[in-house]
Amino acid sequence: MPNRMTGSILVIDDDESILRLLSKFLKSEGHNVVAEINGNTALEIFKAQKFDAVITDMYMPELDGLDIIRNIKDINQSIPIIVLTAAGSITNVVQSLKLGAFNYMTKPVNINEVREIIQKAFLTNAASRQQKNFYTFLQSAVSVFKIKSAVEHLEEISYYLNSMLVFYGFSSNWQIQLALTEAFTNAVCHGNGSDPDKFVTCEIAFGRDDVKITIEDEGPGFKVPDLKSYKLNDDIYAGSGRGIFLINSYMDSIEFNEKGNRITMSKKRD
Amino acid sequence: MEINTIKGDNYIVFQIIGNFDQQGAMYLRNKLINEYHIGEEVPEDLPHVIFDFAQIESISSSGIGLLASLQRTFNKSNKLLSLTKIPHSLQQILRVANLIGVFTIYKNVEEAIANKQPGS
Repeated sequence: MPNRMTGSILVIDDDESILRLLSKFLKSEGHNVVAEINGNTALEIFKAQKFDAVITDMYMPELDGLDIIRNIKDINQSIPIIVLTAAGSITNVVQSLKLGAFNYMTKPVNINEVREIIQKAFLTNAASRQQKNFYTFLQSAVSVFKIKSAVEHLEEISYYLNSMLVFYGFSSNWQIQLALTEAFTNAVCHGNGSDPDKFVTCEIAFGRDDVKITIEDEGPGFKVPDLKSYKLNDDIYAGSGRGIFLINSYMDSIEFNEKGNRITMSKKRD
Repeated sequence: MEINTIKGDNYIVFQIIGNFDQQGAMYLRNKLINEYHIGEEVPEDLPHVIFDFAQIESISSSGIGLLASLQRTFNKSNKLLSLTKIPHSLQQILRVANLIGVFTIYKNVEEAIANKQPGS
């Protein structure tokens, strides 16, 4: 028997017979398997334990396969998720792949196909781990963009940041994306006063241990808040200051320049 | 951001698709004002409003701000507003922003429709 990689796999399916069949087979292949019939419980298990791959059914009550993918990718963007679906359900397969699923298998389950796809998933994982190790040599990778001051460009810079976060092996991606969204929107709408003739400069610097994002607008600046004692408005329904509060909550450090038109925020690698 | 609208006898579901950021929040706000006359108050004949976040990709403070202000308006008018299928990231943001208890949140649209009274 050729050398096979083994790992921990979470299997989610509301059909007990498929759950039993997959668990038995995967265990016989040397994997640690946690089998769960309920999607919500499976998510709780996923949050509490470390897994190398997830196999999920597409059609389940309460949480379906697409919900499972969204929620798991929110927690761990790089984990391979394999979707089990009925033959011919191509629409959901396409949607699941768009959401970041690694691959899919059609029912009835073909044991050889399970083995092959799991091995591919583990190989991809191993390559990604190797790549991550390589980044311990990284000193800096800096990109600077001078962007027309328009919120429409947020999607592009956000896409770039997300690609680089994945490339450099970061995992707290949605928090970092949220911080960029808040700072960029603030620069365009408040800093530059929605003036389309102005620009926003965005610097994204990856280091060995962290990512640092600097956003600077061309406006007059504003009074820099005291971030150490920054609190939300007592009126929880009021919107003012929520953006800065979220950046402050999710990033490890924030600094403003004296003028108040440049924010630098950083997040350590998990 | 795109919005799909599904109307039932006693509910309207707004499926929010894509990035619920500043532009998305403006789009939704304009839609609610122009098509459903939701401004400072909620029209008497407006049924249970359900926001379905199953297909959301991201949310910013602008999206959160709109939801919070809508919830306040609905509370004042004694009308029902529910959220469903909120992803882990949105749950975290609502918790951090101290807003998790403000909204009526259901696991899915079917439960939201069935539970017309919050908490029932």
